[in-house]
Amino acid sequence: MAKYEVMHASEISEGSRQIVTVAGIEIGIFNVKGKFYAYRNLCPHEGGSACKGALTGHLAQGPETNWDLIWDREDEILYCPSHATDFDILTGESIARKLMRLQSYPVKVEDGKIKITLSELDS
Amino acid sequence: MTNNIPIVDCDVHLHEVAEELAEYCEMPWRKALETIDPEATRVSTLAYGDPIVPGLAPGAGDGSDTPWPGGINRPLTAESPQKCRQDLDSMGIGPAILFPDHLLKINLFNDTEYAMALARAYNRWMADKWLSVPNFYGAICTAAKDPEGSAAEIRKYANHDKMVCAYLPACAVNPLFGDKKYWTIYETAQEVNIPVSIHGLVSVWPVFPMQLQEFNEVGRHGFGHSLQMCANFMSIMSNGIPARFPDLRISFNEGGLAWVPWLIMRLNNEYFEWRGRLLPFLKERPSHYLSNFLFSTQPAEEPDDPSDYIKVIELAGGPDRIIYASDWPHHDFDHPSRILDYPMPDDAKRKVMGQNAAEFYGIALPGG
Repeated sequence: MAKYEVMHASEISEGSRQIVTVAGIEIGIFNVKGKFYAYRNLCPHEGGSACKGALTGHLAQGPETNWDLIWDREDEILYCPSHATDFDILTGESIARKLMRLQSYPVKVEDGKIKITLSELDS
Repeated sequence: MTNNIPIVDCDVHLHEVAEELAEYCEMPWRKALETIDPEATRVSTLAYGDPIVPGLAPGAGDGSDTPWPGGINRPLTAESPQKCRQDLDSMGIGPAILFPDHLLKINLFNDTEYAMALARAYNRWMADKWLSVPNFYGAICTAAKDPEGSAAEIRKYANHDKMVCAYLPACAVNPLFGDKKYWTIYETAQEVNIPVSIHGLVSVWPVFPMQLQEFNEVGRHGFGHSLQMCANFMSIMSNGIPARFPDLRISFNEGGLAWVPWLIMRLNNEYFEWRGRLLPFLKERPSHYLSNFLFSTQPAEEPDDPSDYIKVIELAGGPDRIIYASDWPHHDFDHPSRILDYPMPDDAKRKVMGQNAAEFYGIALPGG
């Protein structure tokens, strides 16, 4: 286990992301409504740079919306730039490709600084 | 029954003639039916003012091939309920679902009111003349141009003990069957628990299948039927019909099976890219919804290796999703032996040949 300090939290505004390289691994750090998430910049589908994709929302329609068509989950859905594989940033899981997920890393903010923990297996 | 396997036939064509329908038709539409030459309708089409004589006076997409001698010389229309029943009995076929003949082209009528009046007359006539014969069951005729009128027919016959599904005519349907225009049909069918059967007949004019006009019957029939099912299946999936009407049961009749695995795998691929933007109503990948559908066998594909047919069935959702259909007495009908001869386990044959259809249409199997 190794903890890496990557940047000040103030450098990632809400609804945006930064890509950093830690121990030779590209990691995307996302700020969703003040909470931070870290994922490896590698799409489990076909190896695209998932964390560089569009970070936006998605359409929702069904019994849960009373069949109204609504734009939902703003800033919480990441679309891989290679094939638009969709990832829920809150969990790292793909919504359409249910069995796929981005590799995640524990992330903490301490003294205003973002710190990521990598295990031995990660490096 | 063959090898003690009960056979339910999901597609048999009765034969409606204008003079008989006229007796069951409301005014003023009866007057139109009465103008049609009774002899012509026994073998030809209900075309008015544009008689089609194959090989001499082609219609729009019909009768346009050169009429070389040879081919099938048996009657391609059912003479009577009794004769049709004898034919089916001789093939070991038990319960049979009846679909129209001329009215397979019902979507081609310009006049919506006339089309719906014909559908109503046909349903009355079939209920009276054909469904009184044991082992015949009816598909409620609808007219796609009048979804509300069609829904009313479904509601009218929902509790009729021999009307077991609604017939949705795929021939020349425009827009395709996923369109919101038809949701009132689906709402009604779901509410009254009547399955809908989308049944095809190839027409290359005026709307579908498109770009097939240069082909003769080989090209038109060879893939026109399957393309028609593909287009309607795509329309139904991309409009979320199985999610919107989760209790609605839909069968696709007269497209064979091999298109199903191809299209469902294509749809999965599209879903993975477009779920959050174009398919928000599908909560699972499209193949998950295969269990909402049944697919009929006819016209059955003929792979070089017969065991490949079993693979096709597996890829189309497995033996639980497949129903046998003969399409008797049409030129491309499949005798039960066509399917029974494929190297399938007995329990799969029982499902495909009768059990699935009996459950889908709510028919008691012989001895069951």
